[in-house]
Amino acid sequence: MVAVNPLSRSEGRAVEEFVRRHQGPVRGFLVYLGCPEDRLDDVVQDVFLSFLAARFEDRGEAATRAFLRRIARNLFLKTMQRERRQVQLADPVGAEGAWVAFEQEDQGQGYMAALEHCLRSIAGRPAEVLRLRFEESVRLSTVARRLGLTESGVKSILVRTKRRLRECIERRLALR
Amino acid sequence: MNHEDRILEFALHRHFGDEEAVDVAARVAKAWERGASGALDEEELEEIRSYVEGPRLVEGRGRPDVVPRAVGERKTRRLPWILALALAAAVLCALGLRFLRSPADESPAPSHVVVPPFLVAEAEVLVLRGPARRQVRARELERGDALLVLEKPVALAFGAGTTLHAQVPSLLVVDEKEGEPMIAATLGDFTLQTSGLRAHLRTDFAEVALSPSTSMSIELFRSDPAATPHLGLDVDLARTLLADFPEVRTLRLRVTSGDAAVSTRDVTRLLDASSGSLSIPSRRAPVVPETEFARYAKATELLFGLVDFPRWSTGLTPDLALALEDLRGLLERQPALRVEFRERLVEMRKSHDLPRMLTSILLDFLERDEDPEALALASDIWVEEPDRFQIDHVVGFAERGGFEFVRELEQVVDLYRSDPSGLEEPPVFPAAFLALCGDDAGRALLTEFAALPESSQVEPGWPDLRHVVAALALEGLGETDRWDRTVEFLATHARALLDVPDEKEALRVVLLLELMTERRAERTPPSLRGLVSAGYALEGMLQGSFDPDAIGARIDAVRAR
Repeated sequence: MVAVNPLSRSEGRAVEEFVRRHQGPVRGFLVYLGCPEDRLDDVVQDVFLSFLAARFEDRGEAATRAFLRRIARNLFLKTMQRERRQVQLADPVGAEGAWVAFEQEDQGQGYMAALEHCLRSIAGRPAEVLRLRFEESVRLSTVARRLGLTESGVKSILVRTKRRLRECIERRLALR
Repeated sequence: MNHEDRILEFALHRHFGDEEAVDVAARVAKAWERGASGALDEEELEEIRSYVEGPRLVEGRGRPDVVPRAVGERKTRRLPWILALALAAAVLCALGLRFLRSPADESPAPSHVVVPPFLVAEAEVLVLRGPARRQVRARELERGDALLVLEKPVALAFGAGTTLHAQVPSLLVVDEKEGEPMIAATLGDFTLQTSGLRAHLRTDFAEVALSPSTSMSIELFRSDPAATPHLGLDVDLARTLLADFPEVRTLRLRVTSGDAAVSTRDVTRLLDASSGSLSIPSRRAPVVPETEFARYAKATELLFGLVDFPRWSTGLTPDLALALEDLRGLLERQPALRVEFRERLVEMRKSHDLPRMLTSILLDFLERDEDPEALALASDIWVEEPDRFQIDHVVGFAERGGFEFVRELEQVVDLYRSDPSGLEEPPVFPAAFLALCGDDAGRALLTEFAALPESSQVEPGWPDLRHVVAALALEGLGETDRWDRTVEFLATHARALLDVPDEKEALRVVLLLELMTERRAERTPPSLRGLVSAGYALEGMLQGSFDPDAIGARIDAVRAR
């Protein structure tokens, strides 16, 4: 493992290597927290600069990830506060716990594989609703209009489908 | 949205979205080289560093990246420098005055100490004193005295400046806790006012700590005249007296000035004048034997321990499974425990984001609880977290008259009729419920679901719970021959499976028939409640080796019923 800290200001290559290794999870965590897309790159950059400035003692991957997450959360909240944007997160600590459970040791690949598997069992109208909602990012009212349903009907399909997905994912992950 | 939903949404966006991999490594390295250092100041970084590197890391117990839930956000800010300066100046002045005082200013040491009475009443009151509990009338009370206020209201003043006004009838024991007045109350209507010290009020189910300069009105009364006496208070006298006193069930508090903390077994709440009146029901069931209460406490502790259960795990430990079974029995037998359980559930929901597995188990319990309050509580949960309900929960609460649940079942059936692919599986339970309520569309669907194959060649896994439920519900609607035909067909099918031989599958069919036969014998039309769970339980019985002769005998027994 590369000893990441303390890194002097002239160790550009080691810094780049470190950032490349960790930027995916940091970016994912910020998106999950609700960081606006237009601020994402800047906040990610700030996270790493703050990390380097902190001269954090390297205690292994898990502690480094926890440290980066913690910085990311603080910077996210700070950014939102500074720009007077609303944070849709009632319980940041609980949210971080859920993220840790999602990320596990494989940066969330296990969860994503389980999701992919479970999505194969969704067909017909629920699959179409998911596609419109998450692929095309279409509003519920538009989804309803396109599929000839009421908005509450679409909502109901979404709730059911997501519940089904969650249960399926839980089962898959429990089998690992 | 709860965290699990948020994670799923995030994962769905990631799955469907064409996420562009943005690499900020080069720009971070360049900015770092040029002396940039991020937007967090040193204090904030130090705080994060101490959190990650400090002893809290140990709390992860083998999962160093787990964030302990107890670690909260930073709540305090740096003290403004002007305030810090003022504080330092004040401390220096105080120290200076202390050391500059002349020895002549010191008072001479007193030749004796006058110990004020612990507690003084404005007039003589009836007191039971000492281990023998002898009855005396006294104005000056001692620690441990039991005070009976039966004639007229009484005002009492503690040496510490705390005053107590007790109305008729009141029963209390006066004592001290760490040098502060403590009143163990059993029954009554009081006003307690503190001065320079805190004071404590204790009942057998709640403790109240009043801050200095606080005034509080306290009522401790029974809410159920028919209830048996409660013997929970650990004061001998109270044990004796309570045999004749009515059951105490509710503590009602109201702070008129200052503040106080009230603690029950599960929560501590701060009260002040803006809190209004707070009623705390007695938490321990008066008619539950101690042994049963202990079992209940142990089971609920295990159950609510699931708050921290890993989110992706679906299994129950054997200990928990046994405890849940015991809890089910206790709650069925003891109405008072059901009340306690519901209160506990309400409190847990307020203070925690309950994992789905735990909510599902709790809904199972609520579904069995016939009290209207259980239905009301389920309705509250439904409004906030409809996705926590399994279909058998919805059916169970609909059978008990929950209109939201009936509406949900109607919507499910409508959805299926407009687009059968919109549901994972045919809505047999919703259709059965609606059909039993007289809905023709529901009945038509049931007829479709209950149809028997034309030949004995059937798909593997046929029949499942839905087929037999449909047949059973139709029988409840008067189609008696349909049930007989279904039993006959399935019994023949089970025999054929034994001949294959496929004993496990044969046993599965027999178990399904037995389950439905039992349900049919309970009442007409049959109740649909709990059938899904029963179906799952049935799958759990298909373990180990199978005896073909025994299965054959069971087939015959089902046929004969």
